[in-house]
Amino acid sequence: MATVDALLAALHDRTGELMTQPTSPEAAMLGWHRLAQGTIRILATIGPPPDVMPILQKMLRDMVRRDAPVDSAMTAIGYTLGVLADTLNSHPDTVNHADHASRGQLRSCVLGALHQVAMVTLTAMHTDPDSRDRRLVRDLADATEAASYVPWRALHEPLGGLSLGPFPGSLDEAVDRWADNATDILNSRTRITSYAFQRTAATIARICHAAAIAFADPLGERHVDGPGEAAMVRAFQAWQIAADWPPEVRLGGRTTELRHRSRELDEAFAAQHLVQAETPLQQDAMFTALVQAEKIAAQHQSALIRVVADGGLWISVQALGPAYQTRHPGASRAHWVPDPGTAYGATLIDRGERASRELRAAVDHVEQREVVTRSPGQAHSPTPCETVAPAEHSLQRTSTTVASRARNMGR
Amino acid sequence: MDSVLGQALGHLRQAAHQLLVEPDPTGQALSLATEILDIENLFEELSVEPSWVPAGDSAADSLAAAGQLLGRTVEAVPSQVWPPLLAVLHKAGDHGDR
Repeated sequence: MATVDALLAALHDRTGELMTQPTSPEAAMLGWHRLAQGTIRILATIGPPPDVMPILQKMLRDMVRRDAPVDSAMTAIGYTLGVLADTLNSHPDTVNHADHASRGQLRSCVLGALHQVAMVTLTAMHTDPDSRDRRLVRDLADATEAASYVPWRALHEPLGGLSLGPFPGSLDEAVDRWADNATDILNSRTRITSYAFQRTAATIARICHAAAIAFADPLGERHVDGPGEAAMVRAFQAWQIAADWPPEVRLGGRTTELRHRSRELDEAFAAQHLVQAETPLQQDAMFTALVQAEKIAAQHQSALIRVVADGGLWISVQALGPAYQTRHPGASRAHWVPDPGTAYGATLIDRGERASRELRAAVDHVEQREVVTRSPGQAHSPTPCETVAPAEHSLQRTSTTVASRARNMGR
Repeated sequence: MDSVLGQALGHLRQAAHQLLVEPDPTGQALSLATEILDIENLFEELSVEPSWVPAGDSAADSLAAAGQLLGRTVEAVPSQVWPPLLAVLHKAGDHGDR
């Protein structure tokens, strides 16, 4: 799900959209009930300004509820405020302990948006200046005017990163389920298999590949430049190599659930075309996936080191060659034996280390870019701030990549 | 019969290996390789031990070799293996001689 920051950005965008649309006097009052309801719930959580709350409550009490059309900016604003209220209410402790500046910024963002909506309504209703509803909206516009002068900017953590949790069927949820299971398997001495190592590495590679495509989109809030995209391509290639185990090396066992979780994640990637219009949220979701992948990468590496150190790899006798069979006359060519000290283990560990390094570098690129585009004091903008150079190592798009809504999380 | 399944699994392992080492700007080789890994996992769940077999000329050849072996022993092949196997054989064919 979207973070508080993403919701505030969406609120900002939808308000801007409303201001650019012509509004008839009849349509101007539609949807106010939902707006007032959502705003009251938000303000009750973060501390309401004394003059605004009574007006909103009066709106709820006195105005006849008439919803705006489902696809209108007004409805989108109402829903956004509702989700924002749900999100804040689901984290009462974090909200209560957030610093005064963050809470004040959040309050200003919400009231500033409300002021803009009120001004749109007042302008549209100029032919009926003395109606009761218009007077209420005018009072609200007056009470929220000061907030509209506060520059729009992203909140500090942890308030800005709060979210409702994975959206059912989303990429976030699929990533979480995969990561939970991969963690479980990689940390188990008895259930770890070569499939688990290979499939986990392949999934990380796929996340890097999808991220390279998603973050290259210049319309996204987390857009990365050429070097950032190249870093993700390098991470993708390195993890693809880490997924490659020579056919003469194995570590048997059963890992059914990981296969299911991995397939679910593949399907979530393939659903990208359903949400292509939501580029900023998709980049947020991809960032979450990248961070999760980085965590799994660390566990992949420590599990691999442990298995190799324990002599857990099995090698095909046939691949060990005639010299081994001469020294071990009882060993059948068709058999597998515990690693007699080959270089396979060291090679696999080296590949994993390199892949982990590349992934860390890729994540660092996205994080650095986030700092640049959303530095404190800078007005939020959904458009990229810089000219983008084409990536040297850009990927070719395929029909199966990423999907979904956003949830931010720290590393 | 087990040895036939083991050999087929050996060819699948070679195919995945061949796909994962090739340059892959579109991510399609990775995607196909993960599907093969999932089939390998199905075999291993059925306690089939892989045989080590030489690599084919390409991933498509290795896959074809696995398909031919399994096709000769249809009755011994677990039913859940066929749908994903046919899918990867089809995709490998679509993407030329990988």
